Amino acid sequence: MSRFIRNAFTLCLVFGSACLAEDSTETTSVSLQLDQVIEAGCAKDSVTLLLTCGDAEFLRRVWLDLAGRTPPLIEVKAVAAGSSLNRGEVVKRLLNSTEFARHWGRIWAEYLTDRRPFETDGYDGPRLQQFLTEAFRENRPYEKLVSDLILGEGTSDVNGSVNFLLRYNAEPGPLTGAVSQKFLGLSLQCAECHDHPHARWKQQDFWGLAAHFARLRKMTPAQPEEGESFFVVIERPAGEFRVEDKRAKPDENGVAPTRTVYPQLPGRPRSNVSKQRRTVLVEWLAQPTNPYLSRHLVNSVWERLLGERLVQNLDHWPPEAASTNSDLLNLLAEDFTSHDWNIQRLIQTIVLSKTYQRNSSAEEQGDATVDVLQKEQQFSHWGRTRIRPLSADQLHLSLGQAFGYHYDENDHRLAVATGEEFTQDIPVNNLGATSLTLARTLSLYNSDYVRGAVELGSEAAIRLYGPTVGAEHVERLFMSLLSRSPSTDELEYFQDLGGEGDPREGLQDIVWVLLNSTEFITNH
Amino acid sequence: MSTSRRSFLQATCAGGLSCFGSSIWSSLFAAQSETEKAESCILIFLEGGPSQIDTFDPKPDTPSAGSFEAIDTKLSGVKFAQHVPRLAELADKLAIVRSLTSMEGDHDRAQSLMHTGHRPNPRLHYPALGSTVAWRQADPEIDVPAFVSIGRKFDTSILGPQFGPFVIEDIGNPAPSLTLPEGFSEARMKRRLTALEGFNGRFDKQYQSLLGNDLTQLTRRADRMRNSPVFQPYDPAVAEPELFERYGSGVNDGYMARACLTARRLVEAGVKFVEIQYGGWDTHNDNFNQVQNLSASLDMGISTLIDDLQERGLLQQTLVVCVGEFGRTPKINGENGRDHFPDVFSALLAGGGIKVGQVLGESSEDGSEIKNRPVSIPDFHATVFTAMGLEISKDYFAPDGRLLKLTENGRPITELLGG
Repeated sequence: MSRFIRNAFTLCLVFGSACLAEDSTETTSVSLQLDQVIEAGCAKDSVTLLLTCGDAEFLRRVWLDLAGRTPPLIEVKAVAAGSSLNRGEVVKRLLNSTEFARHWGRIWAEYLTDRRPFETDGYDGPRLQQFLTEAFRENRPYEKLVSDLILGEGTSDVNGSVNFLLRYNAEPGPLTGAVSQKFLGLSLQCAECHDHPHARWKQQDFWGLAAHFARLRKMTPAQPEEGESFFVVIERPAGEFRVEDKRAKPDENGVAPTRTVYPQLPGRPRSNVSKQRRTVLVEWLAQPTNPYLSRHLVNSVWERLLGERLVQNLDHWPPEAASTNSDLLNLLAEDFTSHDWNIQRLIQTIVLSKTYQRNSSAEEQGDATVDVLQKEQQFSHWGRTRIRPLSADQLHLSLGQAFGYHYDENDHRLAVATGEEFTQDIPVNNLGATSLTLARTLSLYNSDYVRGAVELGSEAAIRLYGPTVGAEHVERLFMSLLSRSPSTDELEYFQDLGGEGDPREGLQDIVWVLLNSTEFITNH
Repeated sequence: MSTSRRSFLQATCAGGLSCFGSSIWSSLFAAQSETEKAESCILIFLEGGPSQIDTFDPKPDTPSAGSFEAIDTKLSGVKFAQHVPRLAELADKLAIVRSLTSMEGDHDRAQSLMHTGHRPNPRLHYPALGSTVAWRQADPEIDVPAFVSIGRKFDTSILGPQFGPFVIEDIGNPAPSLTLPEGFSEARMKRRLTALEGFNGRFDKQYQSLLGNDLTQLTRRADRMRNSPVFQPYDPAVAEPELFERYGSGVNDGYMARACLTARRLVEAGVKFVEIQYGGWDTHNDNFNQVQNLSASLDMGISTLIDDLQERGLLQQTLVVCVGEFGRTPKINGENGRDHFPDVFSALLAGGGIKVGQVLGESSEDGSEIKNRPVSIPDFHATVFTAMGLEISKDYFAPDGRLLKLTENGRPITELLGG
């Protein structure tokens, strides 16, 4: 416990010097509460918590999670040289960076659409991503962000947010499914066709919600100019949501008559529709008494940072009996809503907790023979950090960071400043969409893309330290790719590998092994 | 193998060799005891949930019938719907199950159940059929992956990434990274692989993980795929145009023809489990036009696959399975469609290990319920596993040491086995 208090104290001191001192100290106190909930859960079930990870490991982990890439060489070098890392400062700087906004804008665009943000024949994916990136950059309150997305109107190439509606064709059914799944964490979409078999959702709930979107209309320009593609979403002044009336008799052609469903929110009387209908919906979503919007966001951010959700979905919320996970969800959600739905604050709270900073390895605790069930318990109690595979985007950006690599159809060894936006399809076309598959392995093994990176990486090392493979080469490549310096025997191991035969080939072999290594292609 | 895994295995498997699952041992024993087991399996997965009534379990002259007629098959008294005439003609080479029943009516959950035999559990990702077969039956010496999926992606299961499928997205060029640059020597690749294995071994030791070993095996697998011609670019329209036409190259977009022909080539090359994803069966509206189109490709694809396998002497050792995640309602909805119906639906089996020329189970007159011999999804899995020579009653241990039952109390359908 004394160690725990000391750590907490250090963290507070760190924040004392920051310019947002008051706010940050407060965040840290929530981080502490979070850790206490987890420590209590572990103590109750006699699960051993792992220690906090070292600076090099933290730096790599948090850069990958917040900026989507490995940390820059200069910061890795500083840690390797022994200067102690001010973790709070690192996090603050990252949250204020363009790279954070871009990375989270990208993952959120994929999340909201279930697709890569391409331009499609129905909506403008890149424009949606741009809108989200801007929102993350200015740290727009989440409640405002959601209302922008739901209330979107206008032209797809001008108003980024409207592309969320367009992704779901601006139709009541698909939109209601998406809103409940993406913003509320509810599987309400099942209730479109029938009462939900396991949860409390009725078909009436689904339809009542859907009716709030009844007056939306998607319009396509009648005579677009050459090469021009855009769509318009408008809210009509009239029109109702109609569904098949199962009780009525079909007409002579066998067509069932329809009936009107009026806007109604789950568990509420029919909505007052003197206002715009979507506004009624948005107000309900963001009400403090509505538990879903904030909890689902916390749950999703937690999953991004810790590798698994706190609860699978919110269909059965609130749970019958409280648990560590439901307590955590409540703690973070209450802090989140009472601080203006501040996403950066939430992320800061999580990544500055000891829970986020735990080791993946218990080696230094002298515990080398932990068995699979113990490990499983440590994972489920958040007492050990999961090893998570990098996404195609994270790999691509990390290679950009390491070697200035920017694969391009025409000139695939073009070096550019890191942090530049890349063409959306480069990472998935070259590395495959899914991690930890044979297809991804094949790309890492011998794709044109990876061969280009290997050549560029080895040439850079030669330019700096000459053609004979020495310790500097290995050291440099370790820091560029693995964000740490090699141990003595690793130095020897890789010098041996690179020293045989042609030095240029030897260096390429070193880069190839590091690039294919589990350590490089995962976050840990 | 990491120390922690080895010690764990020794601790849990005092019994000896059995749980190392050495394929040499298991195949030796299998060869002696079960001569009729299938060596490989081709699963044609009809994603979306095909209408059983409009394919293999027609209900002529009832309100459920819809607009299709029923036609006679090679089996006396057994009828199919009209748009699978070739399959009707070779029904004596099929076993038709008409009493499958699922517990899930949502696509994702039902597809997960149909693939894993377990209801979805967010904390425990059960392996799909193909992964389990790859894990138990793969020949480590062979150059091809044990499990290949044409078009369908899978999450990593508790068996780890090594037993996931190789997913083919472009059938014409399934593995574009297989040619080493000119002048790149085998010795150099070997050196790289050895160094990677050593370095990943360190990772596993430090992180008490199995992932490094799994990924090394995947890289070694990628390396060995270079030796196999089956992953080189291939155009059946040039290489075997007549056969390709029989498979249905001219029907719809030709996807099923290409996929079925590729599946045959993969099995020939030694792949243990091929899954073909054939989607589009979620016919909530316009059911009849859609099923007619889909059936045309299905009918030519599977019937030619069975003939082709037989002509090559491979049918006796290849189990062919065709099923979706659930069926569709006997009732026709207002959009001329049929909705999800997990209560009763059909599957086809053919080839190795199966007693063909029979119908198993029966649905009621209007197709709304099972009349006799219900077959659960775990039973169905138990049947596939048994046909492939896996012992379903045994306790297995996943690579990380966890106990893993192949099915949740599934019992093999004995009437179907031993063909």
